Amino acid sequence: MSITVNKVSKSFGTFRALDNVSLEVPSGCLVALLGPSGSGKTTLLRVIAGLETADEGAVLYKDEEVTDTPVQHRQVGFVFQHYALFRHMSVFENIAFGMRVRKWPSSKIQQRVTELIHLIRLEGLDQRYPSQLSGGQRQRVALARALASEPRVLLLDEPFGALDAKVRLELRQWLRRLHDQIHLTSIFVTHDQEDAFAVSDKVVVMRQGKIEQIGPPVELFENPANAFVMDFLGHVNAFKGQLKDGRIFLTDYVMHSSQGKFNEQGIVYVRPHELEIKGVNDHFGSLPAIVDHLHPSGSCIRVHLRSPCGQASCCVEINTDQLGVFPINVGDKVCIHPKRGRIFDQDYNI
Amino acid sequence: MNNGHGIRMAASLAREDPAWLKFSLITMALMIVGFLIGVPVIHVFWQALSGGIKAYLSNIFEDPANRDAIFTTLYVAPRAVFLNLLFGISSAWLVSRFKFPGRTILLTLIDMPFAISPVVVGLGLVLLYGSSGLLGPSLASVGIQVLFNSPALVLATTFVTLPFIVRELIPVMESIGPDEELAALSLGASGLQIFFRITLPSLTLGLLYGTILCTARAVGEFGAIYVVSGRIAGLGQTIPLRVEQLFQQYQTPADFALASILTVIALATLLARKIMQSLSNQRHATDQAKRIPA
Repeated sequence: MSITVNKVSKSFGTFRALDNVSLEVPSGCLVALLGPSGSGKTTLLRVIAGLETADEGAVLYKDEEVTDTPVQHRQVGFVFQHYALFRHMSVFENIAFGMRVRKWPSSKIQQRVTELIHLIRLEGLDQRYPSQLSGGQRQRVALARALASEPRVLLLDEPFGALDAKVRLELRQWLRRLHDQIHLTSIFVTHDQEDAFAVSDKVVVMRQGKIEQIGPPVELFENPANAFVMDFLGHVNAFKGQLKDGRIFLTDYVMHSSQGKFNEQGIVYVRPHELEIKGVNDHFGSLPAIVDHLHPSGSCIRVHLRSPCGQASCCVEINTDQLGVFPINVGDKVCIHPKRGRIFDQDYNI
Repeated sequence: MNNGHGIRMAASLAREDPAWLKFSLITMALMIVGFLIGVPVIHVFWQALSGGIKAYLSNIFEDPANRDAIFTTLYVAPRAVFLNLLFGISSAWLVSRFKFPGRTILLTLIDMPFAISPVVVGLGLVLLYGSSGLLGPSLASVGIQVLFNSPALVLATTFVTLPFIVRELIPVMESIGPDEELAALSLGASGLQIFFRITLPSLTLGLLYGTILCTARAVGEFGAIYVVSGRIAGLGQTIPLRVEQLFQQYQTPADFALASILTVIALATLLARKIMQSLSNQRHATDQAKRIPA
């Protein structure tokens, strides 16, 4: 079932949580709403679910307008941020609840719950209470409960927010596999770009109640629409610089890039892996730097450098084997050179 | 866990007080509790049972006025508790789920019976329902006699015990939050289904707790009832009123026998409270033990 959000606005008092937002989610797609806190992503999810009402605009499931349909008649599966499991009910009863209130025959409920408990791999724990489960198990019960009465869409609010790193990783893969099995149109909210990239078909980046960019993860990472998207999706270094003959020339460092600096004139954004470290200033457009410290990060090594006057800093990622060819030590005076970079205010990328 | 224990022990050793101070503080506390509470309570039972069990029981049940007092209490207290349950659940729900103008005023008013003297409550009811009161004459014309009758007793008791259940429920409901109710809503439940299957069951412990306290207070209420009952033996007289009357008439053995019933109820309340506390602690502890890593 596809979901259409058409020019939806929503304010809380003077705070504009959603500002004329339009979104199209194709049937069977898994979409992530990604943004910093206060960007309106949770409000958008709740408007789609019917837990909040939009001030303006419409929400459609396929061709049916559901803007004024209350949540209990929308047939949505909603997974709450802190799961909101019924604490006085067993795992079995939690999952069965939606079917019981919809008056399913009990044999069918029994069958469906057993099926779902198998799906979430909690066999043998169906008589446990939520307080006797770990975070990851609670999350899966919440998901099974939302899926139980065969919803038309699945909506998840920060599904991985309260989990520790390892469980989070497992659950991410599990959710992706589950989605590939059942193909239910799903939207989830997250503030973590790794969550969004690892799970979703499409990512919607939001800021201040507006959608900044929509696209598949790879496209977003490779071709960010603006400096905000670029900065939000991973580390980024900012320099003063310019474009000459199709090449980037760095002219100076930029002090800690803050939100206010976006789209300032003549700022070049470079990802850590797009910078090279050279021994001498053999390239026109390079910048001198001093190595501050090195720290290993998986398959690569992160080198933190600062400008010679010591005020601004930047970060470069190099492969471990590269370090064998060109050894770097703390305190070395080197040069950094961009292989690639982006200047947004001039309306094109390199 | 072990580590935490070690630190706590070291800390308690570090702030160990001198023995004489500890000893004198403990003695003082025990003496105050003993003379203020222990001795009078034991004395009540001592006096009540001084003639043996048989005399004790006949002291309570032989006099018809005593039997009436017990029946009146059994009539008034459950009704007051029931009204308080209705009021408690609805206003706790209102206060914890909605922000509305006058919310703080309502919260303050709920606490009013704690602060106000019960005698004033009784006087208020007399002014309202008396023969020259605001509602008295019109109610009398349709044949409803409130004052000096059981409705007045129920009203007075309800007023005095008003905060007990609400005050237990509000923190519980606030700590649970609205998420479970919203989850039920998203699963297609109606308002009534949500209330009976989600809200009410999660309040069980708080409700029991509040009901016990409320019952104890309702059974023991004296001041407000004293004013509205008319103090007619056998008519609208509850146990505390009868105890006072017997005291005035120097019927000491019967008086203490009846008083012992109130004392037993009070002790039972404390016991029930203690059991429920340890039950909820135990449940919490087993939850923790049963929890397994993902």
